[in-house]
Amino acid sequence: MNSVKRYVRIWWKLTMSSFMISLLSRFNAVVFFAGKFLRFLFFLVFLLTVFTRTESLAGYTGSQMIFFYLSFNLIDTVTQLLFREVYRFRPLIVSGDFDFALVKPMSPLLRVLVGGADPLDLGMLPFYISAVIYMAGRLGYVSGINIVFYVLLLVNGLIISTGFHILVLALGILATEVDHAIMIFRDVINMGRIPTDLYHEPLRSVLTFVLPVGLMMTFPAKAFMGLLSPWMILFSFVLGLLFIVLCLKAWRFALSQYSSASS
Amino acid sequence: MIQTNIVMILLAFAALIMGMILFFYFSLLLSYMGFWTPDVWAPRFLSFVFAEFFTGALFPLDILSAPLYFVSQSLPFFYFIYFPLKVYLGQLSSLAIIQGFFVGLLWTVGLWGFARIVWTQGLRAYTAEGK
Repeated sequence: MNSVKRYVRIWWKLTMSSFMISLLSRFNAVVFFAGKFLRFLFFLVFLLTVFTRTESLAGYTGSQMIFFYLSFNLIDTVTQLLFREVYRFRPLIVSGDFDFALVKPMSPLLRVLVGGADPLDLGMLPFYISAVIYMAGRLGYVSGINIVFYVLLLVNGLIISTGFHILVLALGILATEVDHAIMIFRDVINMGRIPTDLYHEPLRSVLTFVLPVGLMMTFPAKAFMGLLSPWMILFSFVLGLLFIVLCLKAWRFALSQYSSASS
Repeated sequence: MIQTNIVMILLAFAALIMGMILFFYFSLLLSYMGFWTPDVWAPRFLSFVFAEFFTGALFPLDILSAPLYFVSQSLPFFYFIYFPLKVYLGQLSSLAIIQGFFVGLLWTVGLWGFARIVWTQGLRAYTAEGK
């Protein structure tokens, strides 16, 4: 318990430092924030434009598609808010500065995974949460069990996302490669802006079970709409758990292979 | 669809080259911001957001509403991907192709000229920084 308290305090201090660094340049902060909002808006305009020409896509109405898109943004934003430090991992490895994280009396994984939260994503979060609640109310599937499954599957999505970021860190140690791996991750994840049911086979199965984008992004909204069987919900949790265990094993293996670099 | 008309293929190739030159000068101008501010990544990110939407890489621009389509046509992004693809697909009239090349070339010359001015001004503003 004391250890958890200690880590929460460390995370809080690291987060505050990261926020101060990020907000040092107001110009940067404003432009980034505007970019994030416009990115959301442009894709929404695209979805709305598509639904001016058709009633439904793969059986989903316009409101349902927007709910999928909002759920995607919610998970994606929390992920980027928490794991921004992963994007800065490569310089630590190639300069040898990762040694400083290893010698500290704390988990190095915590330091490099969540040691630099992004305040700009935090700024977008209240907007997405409000929009999800509003759209959920409009869809009319609101019931206790649907909300519980939705929230639990969102958490499951975050766990899978955590696993992906741990894998990127492990790859960073083994191959000093982070930037491109995270770009590939971002591109794959962006395929979850629309429900994975819209893709043809075998891509749909790959996106659902191999690269579990569907589990992360599509399943929470489907569970909320009552479109997911209890077995699939259970399967999602088992796969999420299995995935994070494997990613942690990969991290431990990578750490055992780490050899410091001189600066 | 595979285009078999050699004229269309050549025109699409020319439009693609024009798009590449346009993108080069657009990207160069963004980099020149480094003369005045170290914060060059944020404007670049914003440009990616605009480019993703207005180049037609995400979806065909002609599904947009008429006012938005007009806005997209007025921007250089239109000539990065959408215009070469439409030429390749043979979905533009001869007049629209001539018009597209004319506006695209205007953008190219404009961005080239602007990049030269910004480069000259940037060199004057440049100050070396220690590490």
